Order: sequence, then structure tokens, then C-alpha cells
Amino acid sequence: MFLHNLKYEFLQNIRQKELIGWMMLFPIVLATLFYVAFGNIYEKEKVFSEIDIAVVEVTKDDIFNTVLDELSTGDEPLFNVKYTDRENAEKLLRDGDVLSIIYVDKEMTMSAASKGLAPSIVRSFLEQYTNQKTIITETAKTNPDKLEAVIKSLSNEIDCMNTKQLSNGNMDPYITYFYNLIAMVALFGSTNGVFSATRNQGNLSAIGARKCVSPTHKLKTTIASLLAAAAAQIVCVFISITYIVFILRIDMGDKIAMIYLSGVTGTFAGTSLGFFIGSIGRISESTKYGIAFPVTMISCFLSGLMIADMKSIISQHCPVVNKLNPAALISDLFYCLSIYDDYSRYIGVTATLLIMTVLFTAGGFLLTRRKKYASI
Amino acid sequence: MQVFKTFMKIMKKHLRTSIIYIIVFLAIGIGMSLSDDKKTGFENSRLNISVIDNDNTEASRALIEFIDKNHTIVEVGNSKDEMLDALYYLRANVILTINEGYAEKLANGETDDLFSDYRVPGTFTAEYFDTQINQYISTINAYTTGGFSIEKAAEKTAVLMENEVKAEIISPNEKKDSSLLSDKISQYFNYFAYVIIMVIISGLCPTILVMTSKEIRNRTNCSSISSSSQLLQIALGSVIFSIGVYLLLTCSAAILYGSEIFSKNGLLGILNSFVFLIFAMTLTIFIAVIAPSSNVVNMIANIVGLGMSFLCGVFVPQMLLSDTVLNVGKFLPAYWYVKANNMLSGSNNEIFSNSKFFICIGIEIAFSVMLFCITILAAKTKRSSKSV
Repeated sequence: MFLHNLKYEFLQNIRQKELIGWMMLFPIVLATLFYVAFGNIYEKEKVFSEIDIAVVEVTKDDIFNTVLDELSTGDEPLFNVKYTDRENAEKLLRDGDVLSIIYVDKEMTMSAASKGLAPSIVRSFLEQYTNQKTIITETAKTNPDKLEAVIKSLSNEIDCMNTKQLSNGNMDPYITYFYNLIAMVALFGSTNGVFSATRNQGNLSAIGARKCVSPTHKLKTTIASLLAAAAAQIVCVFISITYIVFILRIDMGDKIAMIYLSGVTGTFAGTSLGFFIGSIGRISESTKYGIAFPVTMISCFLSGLMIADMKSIISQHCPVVNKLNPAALISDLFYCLSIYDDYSRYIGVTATLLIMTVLFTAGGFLLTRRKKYASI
Repeated sequence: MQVFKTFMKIMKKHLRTSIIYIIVFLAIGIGMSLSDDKKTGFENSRLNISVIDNDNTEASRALIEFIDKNHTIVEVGNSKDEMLDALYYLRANVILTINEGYAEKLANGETDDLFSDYRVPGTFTAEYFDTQINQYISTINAYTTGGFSIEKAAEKTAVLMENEVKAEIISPNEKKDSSLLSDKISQYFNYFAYVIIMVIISGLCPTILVMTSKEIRNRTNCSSISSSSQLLQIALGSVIFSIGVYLLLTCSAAILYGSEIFSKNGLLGILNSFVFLIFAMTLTIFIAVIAPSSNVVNMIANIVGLGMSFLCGVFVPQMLLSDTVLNVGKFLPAYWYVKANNMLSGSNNEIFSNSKFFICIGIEIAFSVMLFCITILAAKTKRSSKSV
């Protein structure tokens, strides 16, 4: 009987063709948009590449030119230098062809089109050059016998940092948009959850009425309908993950099977959340959908679907929200898989989601328990 | 005004989603209004640096002071989880440990392995921090070589490094225009594009769908109210709702950002957003005509709203989007809306001129007119196919 129920519940779910169709299309469209919008940003904005600068020589400074040449050649050049006149340099700056202009004069000055890291690096470099000049002149005046040693120490290559890596995973923060997108699809399972809850209530649907008078135990029909609802949503989640990982080729790490499994965990949480909302009180079906949808969207908003930093902001001010927000937890699953080598944190997050699933399901069941058709 | 009254009653039941969007938007607006973005000259970028001092000497404390002066020192916690999270979400750009023996090594002229650090490698932030720290260490080293004690060297370095190279911003807007809107208002207007679409679609669409559903339409059609009066009353309801939302958001902007909104550029921004509101309304009617059921309206709204926002630079500055994305964006009104906004604030290297600004406004209007014509066509086709 259970399998019979499961089969027909599943059929009912996938027969909501419009909803299922959009549910599949929605993440694909959004993932594509994220891909085109954020595809290059990390490379363009964060990953270091040589900085285009223009140099205007008001007076000639051969030492400076030698230093610049050194910094703009080699395997990892710091600058890409164009020597030009003031007018042309400013034009290049306005057109965005260079990021800063250096004016070589008795006193070095610079200009930039905007604030930012690249102009700050240029300024740091100029300050370093000026400071070194000061030190050399100072030493020549006060301590000429040490001059040679000082010049030598200044030209020494400094290697004072011993950089260690905490993770070999993809540290591109823009990837969280995709994590949150999958979390959203999983949480959209809540609409299926509402659907299955209302299909069990005699006052909300004809099928619910028939189920209420049937002799099958309510727990059995409920579990069957919940599993079916989750299964239908899992199909959508799998389509999104496949599209993101294999077609858009977003680097979510190499634990592919675990990524799909995380999708399943998330969907269970989403579906049970919807089931719980669907079971509250005697409000109409459309109102229940009207609650489930914004709840999902707010959960995703707090987890960073619209603004990637959201999760970080919350973790600073009210970390408990991240520990309870289903979307944040689901996106955390993908984050753990990509960044961590071990599973300790992953297991913790999964456990929280599973506990939530059990609580929502039990809560929903308790709310509808003993509501026989006659007593509604 | 029976139709109008019913329309409002039904709409009241569908306002939940709209209200949520408005509240979230205003909360973000308040957050932005608290931030401070003066458009003054050049300032160095400040990074978030977490420092763990294992040396704890005068020299290491001097270094921390130097970092604190140029950057923001943050606490991230000691566990691997906390450090990873902080780096990943950019709460900390570099987690620096000053190794034990830092002062001693420096005094002996050694500069290797003074620090160990965690960071996201290969980024601009890492490069910037390295340039500065290397500069600092190189200067101290030069002073100690010159015969100064490590403490004295640190002191002299701190003084020397206060010398700043003069830097200025060359604004793409030739005259250093003080009438330009601040970034936060520009951001508010940009987000407005997404929010107004979501609010109006999720508030109006379900209502219009109910009013035009088959049974209700048939029943109203056989009443004594003429069809043009019905249409007018529905239109009146829609306009009142849209203008209401618009006024609410604009007044909130005025409260949040004060007099800047009433400057010439601020008023042009308000005009721009009003023109976009018209587009949002046309879009809503279009979706109401083509949407198969009210269940999917929210999803269509999200695809259109988020899609347009990401392609046109509402959330991400246009400057950062690739040319392909921007070329696609040009076929969407939000692109022109954001472009006009950028002109008003001088962001994205856009230069304001009356003609350019009003071309953007004109294109937005053209999109609305075009979409309106398509909507009428779609409505006619739908009706005639139904009557067959």
C-alpha cells in the first residue's frame, strides 16, 4: 500500500507541469546569468595581473627608469609601463587604458581615475622609492662609511613572508552565488511540501477529503506523500547541479557524488519546511504558498543569493542566524565540500539539517494529527 | 466603483510578498545610508588584517602600530574554521603571524621568515600587502645596517613612512563636479530597479489574474458595468498601487539621504526612476497576460527581475561586466536606467550631459511603448484563441 501511495503521490507531483517546468527552468536561467555576470569578475577584480601605468617624465631620472624596467620585466611583472606626455597620459587614464599616471619630477606625484588597490600599489611603490632615496642621502650625510652597506641592504630582495595555505579549494567568493542558487532550488521543495500537506487535508482538496476517509494510517500516507514531494524536487535539484557543474563547469570541487548527496539533504529540509507550513491551521492553500515562497526567498537572501557578503555580515553580528537558516546551511554543505579536506564540519551541518527535517515533519504531522474529515 | 473596490480587496490579500520586498529593501537602504562615502581625493585602500604577535617586543609592537595606521586590524579567532571563513568571506585579507625572534633576526640583518601568514594567494590584496611590508622591513633593515638599534630603526621607519606621495584623482567628469550624487544614493536608485519590478509584479499580477480569470470575467461581463469602465477601474487600481509604492520608496530615500535627493541630479534620478516605474507597470501587465497561472508568477518575476538586474549592472557595477554581457544588456531597459544613474553620480566613468541622459530616458520610454504594444497583441491573440 505504501508503494502504491508513493507512486501516485509522485505522479501527482510531477503533473504540476507548469510549476515543475519553471522550477527546472528557473535555476538554469539564473545560473547562466550568474555565470555571465560573475564569470570574469574574480579574474578581473581580485586576481593579480600587471598594472597598466603611464609615466610622464617632467625631469629625467635614470635610476627610477632602471627600477621601473626591472619591475616591468621578468616572469611576474608588477607594472606595464607606457612612457608618454601629460596630455596623452591623461587621455589614457580617462579611457581606462592605464590605471595610474606617475609624474617623474623632483618630487614624485601620481594620479589615478579612482581609488582602489592597483593605484594604492603604485603609490606604495613610489613611496618606497622616495624613502630609499631619503635614506641614502641621509646616510651619505651622517654616516658615509656605511653608505655602501646601506645601499646593498636596500637592494636586497626581501623574502620575509612564509605563506601557508589553509585550503586547496576554490576560494572565489562569487561561487557562493551558485551554492545559494542550488540551496534555493532545494528550498523550493517547500512548495511541494505545501502541496503534499494540503493534499492530505480534507478541507483543502478533494483528494485530501478522500484520503481522510480512507482506512490507511495517516502517518503512512503522509510519509509517502512527503517522500514523493521530495523526490520530484530532487529531480530539479539534480538538473541544476548537473547544469552548474558539468555544463557551466563551475569549480565546486571534485567530490561530485557528495555534491549530489548534499542536494538531497537540502531538498529534504526544504520539503519538510513546506510540509510544516502547509500543516499550520486552517488557512487557505494559496496563503500557505504565499508564506512558503517569501520564507524561502528571505532564507536565501540572508544566505547571500542577492548579496554575496550577507552571510559574512550576519556571522559578525548575529552568527546564530547562519546556524539555523536552512539556505545558509545548505550552501555551507557545498562550501565545506569545496574548501575542506575532511568531513567534520560537513557532518555537523548535515546533522543540523537532518534534525530540522525531522522536527518539521514531526511538527507538521502533530499539527494535522487527529484532524479527521468530520472534525475540521 | 465596484470593480475598483473589489480590485483593492483582492490586492490586499496579495500584498504579503510585496511588503516583504519593501521592508528588506528599506533595511538595506538604511544600512547604506549609515555608511560614509565622501568623494574626496585619493586615499590608499585599507585591508583587513589579522595579526598574531608571537614575538611581543617593542619592534613587533611598532610593526602592529604601522599596520594599524594603514589598515584595519580585525580579530578572526584561532580555529581553522574561523580563519578559513574569514579569508573566504574577505573579512580578513591576510592573517599574519609575527614569528618569535622577529626583533632579534631583524637586528642581525636577517629578513627571511619573519612572518608566516594565511591568505588567498595571487590576489591584488596580497600583492599590496606584500609591497608595504617589504617596504617596511627593507627600511628598518637599512637603518639597522646604518648602525641604529632595532628600536631606533623602527621609530625612524615609522616617521619616514609617514611621508606620502601626493596623489590625486583625475575625474572623468572634467569639472570637479560637486553636484554629483554620492555612491550610496546611486546604489539606492540602482537597487530600486530590481525592487520595483519585484514589488509591482508580485502585488499586481496575482490580482489582475484573479480579475481576469474566466469565471469572474464572464460574470462581470454580463453585469451592467461597461467593459471600458471595468478596464478603467482596474487600471486606476493598478496605477494607484504603483504610484503608492513609488512614493513610499522615493520619500524613504528623501528621509534617508536628506537634501541631496532634492539637488538637480537627485531630481533627475527621481525622474529616471519614475520612467522605470512605467516600464515595470507595462512589464507587469505583459506578465499578467502571458502567465499561465498565479503559481508561477513569482518565479517569472524572479527570472525577469534578477535576470535583468544581473545583466544590466544593478547589483554588479557595469564596469565589471564583460562586453558580451553589456551588449546583451543594451537590449534591456534596466541597462539604460543604470547608465543614466551612473551619469548622475559620475560612477563607472560615465560623463553627464543633458542629451545623453535624456537619450537613456527616451530609450526606457521606447521600451515601455514597445512592450505595451506587444502586450495588446498578446492579449488579443490569447482572447481570440480562447474564443475559438
